[in-house]
Amino acid sequence: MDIVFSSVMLCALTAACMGFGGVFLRVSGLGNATENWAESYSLGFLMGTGFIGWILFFFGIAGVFTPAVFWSLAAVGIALLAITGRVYGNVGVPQNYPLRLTALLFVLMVTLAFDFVEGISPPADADTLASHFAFPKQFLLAGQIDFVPRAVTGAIPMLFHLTYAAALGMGGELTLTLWAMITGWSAGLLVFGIARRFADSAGALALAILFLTTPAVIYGGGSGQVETPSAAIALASAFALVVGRETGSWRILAVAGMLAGFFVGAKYFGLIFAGAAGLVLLFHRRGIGFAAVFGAAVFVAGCQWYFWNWWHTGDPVFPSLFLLLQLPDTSFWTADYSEYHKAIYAVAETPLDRTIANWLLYPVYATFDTVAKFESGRTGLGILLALLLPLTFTGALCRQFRDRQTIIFLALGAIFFTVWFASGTTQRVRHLLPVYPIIMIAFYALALKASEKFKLVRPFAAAVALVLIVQLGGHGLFAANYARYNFSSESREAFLERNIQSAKAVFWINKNLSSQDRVGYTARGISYLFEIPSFMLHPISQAVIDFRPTTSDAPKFIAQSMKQNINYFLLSELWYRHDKADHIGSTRMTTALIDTGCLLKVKTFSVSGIASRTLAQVGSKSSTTTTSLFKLQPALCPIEPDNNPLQK
Amino acid sequence: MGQPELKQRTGTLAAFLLWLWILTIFAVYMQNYVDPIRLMFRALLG
Repeated sequence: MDIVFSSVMLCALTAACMGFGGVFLRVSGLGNATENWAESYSLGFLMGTGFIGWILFFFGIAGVFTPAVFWSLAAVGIALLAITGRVYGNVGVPQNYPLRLTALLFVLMVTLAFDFVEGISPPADADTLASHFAFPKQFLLAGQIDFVPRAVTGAIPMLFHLTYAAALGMGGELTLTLWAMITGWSAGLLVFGIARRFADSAGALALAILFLTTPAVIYGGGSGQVETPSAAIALASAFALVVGRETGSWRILAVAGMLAGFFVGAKYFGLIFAGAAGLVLLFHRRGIGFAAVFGAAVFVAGCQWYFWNWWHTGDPVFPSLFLLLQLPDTSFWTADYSEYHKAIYAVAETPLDRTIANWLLYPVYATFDTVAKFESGRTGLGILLALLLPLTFTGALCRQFRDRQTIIFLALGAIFFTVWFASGTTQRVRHLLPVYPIIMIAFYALALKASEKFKLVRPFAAAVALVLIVQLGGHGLFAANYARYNFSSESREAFLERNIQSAKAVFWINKNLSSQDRVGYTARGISYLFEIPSFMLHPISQAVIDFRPTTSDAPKFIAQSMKQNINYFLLSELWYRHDKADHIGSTRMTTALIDTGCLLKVKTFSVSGIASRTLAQVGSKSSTTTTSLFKLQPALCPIEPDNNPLQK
Repeated sequence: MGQPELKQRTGTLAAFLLWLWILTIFAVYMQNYVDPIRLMFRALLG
C-alpha cells in the first residue's frame, strides 16, 4: 500500500510540474519553437519543477510548509495540465528500428534499471543525508523554512531542496528517492531532444545515455545531489536563450532568464551561469534590451534565497562576503571564524593555484584524475570530451558546422569554467556538471558532423562505444549496492547500517531517547536519520558551537552546547580514545571532559568505517571503528558562572 | 602522386592518427580504474 501511495504521489507531483510548465510553454511561445516531444516534455517538466521550488519558498517562510499545501499545489498543477496538455503533443516513436537503435534502446533500459534500483532504495549518500534530504525533513517537521547558520551546506540556495520536501511530504521517503531519480532523467531527456536536431534517433540516444552514465551523474543523479537537476535547468535555459535570441522573442528570453534564475536559486554557481548568459546576450544588436529582460527574470526567479541570507546575516552569499563587508560578530558567526573557515576551505577545496597555466591544464588534470582532491575518478565527467577533441576541433574549423547554438553553448561553457576557476571556489570536478551537457552537446555535434564529412564515422563510433562500455560498467558496479538491498531480504535498517557509519547508533538513539533530548554529533551522514532533535558539530562550517580541531576552551564548549539544549553527544572514536599522544585541541578537550565525568559514556557501538559504498560490493576492505554516546552531566562540567545558561 | 591519391592517403593518415589518439587517451584514462576492475573481476570469479 505504501508503494502504491508513494507512486501515485510521485505521478501527481510530476504531472503538476508538467501542468505548471505547460503554462510557461504556451504563454511564452517556447512550446511552438520545440522540434520534438523530448524537448517540450523535458522543458515543461523542468520549468514546472523550478516553479514549485520557487513558490514553496514563500509558503515556507510564511510558516505553512505542510503536506496539505503540497497536495493543493499539485492539484492546481494537475488541473493546469488538463488545460494546457496539448502543448506537449504526442510522444514520437521511430518508424524503423535498425540494429544500432535497438541496441541503444536496450542499453538505455539497462541504464534506467540501474537508476531505478537506486530510486527504490533508501538514500545512502553522505552529502544528501547531511543536507540535501536532511533540511527538507527538518523544514517539514518545523512546518516552515528555518535559516540554517552553517556555511557551504546550510545557508545556501535551496530551490531543489524544497521540491524534495514536497516529494517527502506528499508520499514519504520512496517518493523522495524516486523524485530525485526523475529529476536526473529529465536532463537526459532534454539532451536527447536537443541532440535530435543534428543527429538521428540512435545518435541522439547515444548522447543521452553517455550523459546519464557520466560518473558525476551516476554518483549524484539519483542521490539527491543538486548538480544533475541544475544541469538540466542550465541546459534548458541555454536552449531557451538560443531560441529567444534567434527569434527575438522577449517572452522566450524571459523564460530563459527564469530558468537561469531557478539555477541561481538552487546553487550559488547559478550566479556564474546567469552572468555568462547575460554576457552572451550582449553580443547582439539588441543585446542591452535582451540582457535586461533576461536579468529581470533571473532576479525574480532566483533572488529569494539571497535576500533570506542577507536578512539573517547581512551577507547574501554567506559567508563569502562576511569579511569584505566587515559585518559584526553574531552568536552564530564571527570574523575570526570566517578567517579560519576561509583558510581551511582553501586548503581542502582549491589544490591548484589560480594561474593561467593551471586554468589551461585543469581539463587535463581533471580528465586523468591526477589531483585527488578533484575527485574526478568516481565523480568526474568521464573521457568523452577528450576522445572527441580532434574531431570537434576539425568540425569547429568548418564554417558550415559553426551554427549559432554551438557557438553560444561553447561560449557559455568557456565563460562559466573561467569564472568558476578564477573565483577561488571549490575545484571539485562535479561542480562543473551543470554546464557539462551544454559543452557535451556542442562537442558531440561538431565531432559528429566532422566524422560524417571526412568519413571518420568508425573511429567516432568506436570512441562513443568505448565510453559507453566503461561508463555502463561503472554504473552497474554502483547499482550493485542497491541491487543487493532490493534482491535480498535485507531490511532498511540493515541497508543503512551497511552504508552509513554510525547509523546503528542513531537507530538506538531514536528508540531510547525522547523528543525532550537533543544530540550533538560529529558524523555528518546521519543527520537525516534522526527522529529526535539533533545538532551537527561541524568542525569547519558552523560557529554556533565552536568545535574546531584547535578548540580547547571546555567552558565555552559546554556553555554553547547547553544553550542549544544539547544533553547528549554522539562522538566518533577520535574524540574519546585514550591515546593521548595523538590528542590536540578539541580531542584533548573532549577526553578531558570524559575524564572529569562531565561527559558520561552511555553506550558504545561497533561500526564499520566505509571508504567506498560501491567498491565494498566487490570486496574492498573496510575498517571497523566505534562511536559512543555520552550524556552531559552539567554538575560535573567546567562552567563559568557568566556563561552558565542554567542561571539565565 | 595525383590529387585523388593524395586525398586518399591524407584521409588514411587522419584516420590512423584519430584511432591512435582515441586508443592512447583511453588507455591512459583506464589506468585510474585498474584497482576497481581488478576487484570486480576477483569478485566475479569468486
